[in-house]
Amino acid sequence: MKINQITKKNIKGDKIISVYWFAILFIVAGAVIYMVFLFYGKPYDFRKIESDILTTKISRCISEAGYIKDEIFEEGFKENFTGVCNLNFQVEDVYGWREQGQYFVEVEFLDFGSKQVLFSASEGNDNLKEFCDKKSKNLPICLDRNYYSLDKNGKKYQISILSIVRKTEKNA
Amino acid sequence: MRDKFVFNLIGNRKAQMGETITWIVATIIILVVLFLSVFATNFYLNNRKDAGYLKSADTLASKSFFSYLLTHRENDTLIYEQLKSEGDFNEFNGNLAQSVFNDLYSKDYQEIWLGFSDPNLNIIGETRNARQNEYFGHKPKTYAVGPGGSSAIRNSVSILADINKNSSIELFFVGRVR
Repeated sequence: MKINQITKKNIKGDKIISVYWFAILFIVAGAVIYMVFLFYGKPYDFRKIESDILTTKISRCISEAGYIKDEIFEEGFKENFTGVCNLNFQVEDVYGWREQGQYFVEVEFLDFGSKQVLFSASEGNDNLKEFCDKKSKNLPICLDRNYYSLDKNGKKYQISILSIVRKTEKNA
Repeated sequence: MRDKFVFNLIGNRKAQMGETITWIVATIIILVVLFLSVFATNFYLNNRKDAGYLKSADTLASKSFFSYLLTHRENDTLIYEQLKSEGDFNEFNGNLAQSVFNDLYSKDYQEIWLGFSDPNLNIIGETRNARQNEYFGHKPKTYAVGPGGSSAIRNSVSILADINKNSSIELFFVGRVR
């Protein structure tokens, strides 16, 4: 009688172990799925590269072979900055991006010695500028870079280029 | 005989208890490993998933470098000519180099160096091809030594302007910050 009872308990124990195995299997599978979702569910952030490309393109438009191009000093550069530099700020029509404006660029020409701003030009959504001193992954990316250049008369300039890219919905 | 059998079964029960403890410990280990994996994934993704790329060129720094070489004082030769003929920095071009490169790029790079180097001996990680100078010191090393003697090559940007076959003026940045 006692022997039968113990044997029955053993069979019960086997069943419990099977349930346990399934529970562990589901927990492990669930954790793996969660981690894969965490990793691949998040988009890559390309805005840093985009702002870098924008900055490079603007610098190439402003100066060539060590000197600032003559057309930069001509009248109309400030008003038609994107036209002169052949910049296109058109974006796809999602998340209301077109109405909002996803880019802002500003170029400042400073006297190299005194660091005084001689003239500047900007284009795009200037509201984005106020986010540059704040840090969060859900805010626009700002890239502020400088370089040294000369005009044809040998006058020294510091050129400061600020490029901002928003597009948080697809990158952050 | 029957007593012996019952005694054996009691022994089995003890063995079952030992087995249960093993399973509980195993479960705890499995759960800890899983928890650590999830935590590590979360921690890794706290830093944004940047589509970064190893940058070996810097257009803006190149522009600054070539404008610097084209700079001259009134009734004086270009800095490029000065460096070529004198073979070292003088007060004018040395100070200007510091204010151009250190001031404009210290936010972008950890180490900045401008000086004379032999382009024929330009080997990755090696700095023996470069000459020390008064304004920028030694050329920084491109590899970092970690714990246990491990080493890694740091991201660097090198811009060269040739003076002659065996010498060039090199602008060298190590450790991109942003």
